[in-house]
Order: sequence, then structure tokens, then C-alpha cells
Amino acid sequence: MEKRFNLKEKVLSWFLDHPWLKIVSLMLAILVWFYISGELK
Amino acid sequence: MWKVILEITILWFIIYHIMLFFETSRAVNVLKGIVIILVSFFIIQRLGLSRLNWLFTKLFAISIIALLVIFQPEIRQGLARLGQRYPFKLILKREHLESVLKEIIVAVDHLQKKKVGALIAISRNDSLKPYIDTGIMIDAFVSSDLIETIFTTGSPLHDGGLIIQNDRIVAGGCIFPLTEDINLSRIYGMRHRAGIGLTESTDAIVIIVSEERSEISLVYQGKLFQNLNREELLLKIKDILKV
Repeated sequence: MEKRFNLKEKVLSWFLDHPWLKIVSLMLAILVWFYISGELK
Repeated sequence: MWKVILEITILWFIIYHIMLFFETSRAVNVLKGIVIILVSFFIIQRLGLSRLNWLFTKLFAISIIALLVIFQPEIRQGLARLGQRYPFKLILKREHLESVLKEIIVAVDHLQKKKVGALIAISRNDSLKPYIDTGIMIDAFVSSDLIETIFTTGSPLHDGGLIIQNDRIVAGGCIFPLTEDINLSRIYGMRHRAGIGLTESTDAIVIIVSEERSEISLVYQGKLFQNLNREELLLKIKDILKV
């Protein structure tokens, strides 16, 4: 079950939902990207 | 440039969901340790510490197998959930959702007062079809009277779980998987274990009425919230559904 789609609330709740996990996973993604780039060269 | 952003975004999406999945599991501390090791390895490589780099590289070969062994239950659950996702989902209007929740809460409240056990799963994004198939199809609008009737002692469907999807009672007498948590207190019987087990495999919300203790509990993502009154139960469900 979900309520009617509301873009503004959806975006806000996305930012507020596990913010630290999002930041850490973004940092890891950037690290992994650079690592793979280094391996490919 | 756009390719770089796209690649990083995709990597971010994958890593975030993997970490989110493990956050709710028992392996979260192991995962944190692994992340620290990975970051250390990356720093060692960048600093050009050749001996440490050699050591880490050798250890990695062995650690892949170790990881598969450590995370085997979580990998199995994650793959099962990936295959169960709905491609589309029905969306209820807020007023309709409120009325459906009200019917569920009223039924649960009455069952608790009568000390009748109940196990109710509210389906969300993950498909519960494998568990629906183990029960008896009902396919009726959610009503408190129907829920109470199903769980009445002696009813053919009272022993098993009820599955609710959007505004419909889909099936009754369903068999839910038992939790794999061996540390769970023995005061919790099969009904609680089944409720917890289902929430470990899916994102469903499970409501349990204990006939022994006359308690209402809510389970979500393997976490048990006990001894709730009807107001607390409603607030908790709304908090999870973000309404």
C-alpha cells in the first residue's frame, strides 16, 4: 500500500532516509570508480 | 563527462542498496569491517606502500571465498527479494488507505481483547506470491469482520498467516518462513517466528496478536515492536508507510 504520489515529499523523504548511508555509499562509489579506472589504464 | 556521472550514479545505486540490505541484517558489523579494509587497501595503493599492497592482494584472493561463506544467507535472501519485486505497484488514495488501516486496527484490537491469535502480513513492494500460493485464495475487500472471522478459533484458515495487498485480503492460511535468528528468545512461539521470518525475506509489515500474552506486536525488517496499543500500532504502520 502507498499513498498518492507527491514528488516534493518523495524527494524530501529520499534525502532524509538513511542520509549517512547515502553519503558513505557515494564516497565508496567514487573510490571504486577511480580504482577501476586505474586498473583499466 | 556525462558517462562518468552515469557510471558513478549506477555504482552509487548498487552500493547503496547492497549496504541498505545488509544494514538490516546481522552481517552489518562484518560489512563495516570489510569496508574499512577496502578503504585501507585503496589508500595503501595510492601511497605506493608496495609490501602492504602485496599482502592485501594475496589476502583478497582468499577473502572472496570467505565472504561467500559469511554472507551466504544474506546473498540468498537478497537474490530472492530481487526476483520477487513488482514491476508496477498499485497506489491507494490516502483516504482509502486510512479506511483500510482502520479496518485492520479494529480487527486486531478485537482479536487482542478476545485473546485470539492472529498473523497478518501487509504486502508492500516485494511480491508475496510464493507465500500466497501456500494458502487459500480469498480476494475480498479488507473488513474487520472478515479478518476476525478468519482468525476465529476453529476456522479452517485461523492457523496460518493472512496476506493483505492494497485494499484486498488476498489469501489466508498462508505459511510464512521461520526466522533464522537463533538468538530469539524462546518465549516467542511459531507465530512470532513466522512473522519475523517473513519480514527478513521481504519488506512486508506483519502484525501479530499473541493469544498467550494477549499482546499486539508489529514486525518490520526483522525488528519486533511489542505490546503496542491500537494507537501506537497505527502510528507505527503510518510511519513505515510514510503517510
